[in-house]
Amino acid sequence: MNEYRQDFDAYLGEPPRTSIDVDRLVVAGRRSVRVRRLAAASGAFACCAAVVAAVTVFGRPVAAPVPPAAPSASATVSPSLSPVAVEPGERVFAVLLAAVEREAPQVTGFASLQRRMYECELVMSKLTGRLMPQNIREVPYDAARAAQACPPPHGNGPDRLMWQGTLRKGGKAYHVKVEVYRTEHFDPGAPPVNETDANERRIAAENGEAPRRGPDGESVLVMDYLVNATKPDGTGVFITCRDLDETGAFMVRSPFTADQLAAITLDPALHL
Amino acid sequence: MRRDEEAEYREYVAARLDQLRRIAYLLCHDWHVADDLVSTVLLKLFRSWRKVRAIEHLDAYVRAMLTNAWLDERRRPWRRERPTAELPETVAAQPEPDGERGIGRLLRELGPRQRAVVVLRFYCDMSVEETARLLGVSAGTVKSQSTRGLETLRGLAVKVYSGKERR
Repeated sequence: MNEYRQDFDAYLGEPPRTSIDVDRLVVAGRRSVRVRRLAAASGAFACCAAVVAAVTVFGRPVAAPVPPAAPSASATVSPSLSPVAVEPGERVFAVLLAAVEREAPQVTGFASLQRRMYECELVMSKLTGRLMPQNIREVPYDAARAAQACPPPHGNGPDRLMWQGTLRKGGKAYHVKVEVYRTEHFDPGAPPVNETDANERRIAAENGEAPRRGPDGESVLVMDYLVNATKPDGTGVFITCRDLDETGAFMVRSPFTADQLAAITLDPALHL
Repeated sequence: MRRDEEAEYREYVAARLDQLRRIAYLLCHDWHVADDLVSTVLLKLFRSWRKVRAIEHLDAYVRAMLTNAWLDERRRPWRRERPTAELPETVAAQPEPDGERGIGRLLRELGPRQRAVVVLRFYCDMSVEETARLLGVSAGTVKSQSTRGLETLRGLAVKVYSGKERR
């Protein structure tokens, strides 16, 4: 045992009683496995439905997205789309798919990407007397139910889009989640706006996790399994990947490279 | 999962639960969050138990899951500070059990990845190579991060101590 271990143990002392109940974990695990099997069994049907949906999205004319700034020479733009108004989620999804197919052609399984939404219970806050969301969970998107399932500002709205699915590359399967949402943008090239911002930047820089500035002033923190970006127009893009086979090769967590994820995110057409 | 596999899982969890909670606490410094993290990881472990139970370094694998779960959680977009008209319902921060010079407070001053390196190297007794593999960085980065982490801990300790002496 090294000398620090003793210090750590002395600091930890006697941990409080745990709230973890192994029996409940096992029950939840069994349920989760059942749901996964059920999902796999209905996968063929879902894939067909998603393929039809994707074809519909690409086949129909959709509104031309307005880039937040003039596209840079280095950034690749998704194909131009014709000017008919469509639901923001469909437009963003079409742009996203085009960007992924262009930047990572060896990745497959896009048909499994399913739009998601939040479902929650609203309870009265004892402090503010206002309704606040609790027990927030993610469920398949249902346009007819979205507004009531978990209302904005905390829940669903046109400014909060999510998709998740299983993408494949080289015989491995990866869970991929994409979130596009409205947020506050901080230009990493500009001076810190306050002490917290300055401290956060210092810590990020020390850890080699400082967001870099994109060609149009975007803030981009990217690794091969994660990208967290904000754009000057207030669009946030967050993509996470993890491997599904869990064979112990836990270093391969993504079907993308960091460069591919950055290029997908920086597509000027990808914005709310 | 077969009955014998489930029994094996339960046995593994019972044997490692305390250790995993301690590691999680050193990373996040909140016992409730630590329990949430450990629950999340143990649920994932249950789902993949049939495949992972035979892994040679299962403990390292589970620690990797725990550390990555915490690092990923810290990067969630809603962790970014946002102006709001409504204050969240939070309780006041608990005082550090070992005081302002304690290792807990000093550990909190480190950035997330540096803290993870220090905890894995010096609490979990993992080698540089194991830590590097687990965090997905080079061995050189682990070496420099653990050195800088310890220097920061020592520097902070000296700073707090001398500040106290001057008072």
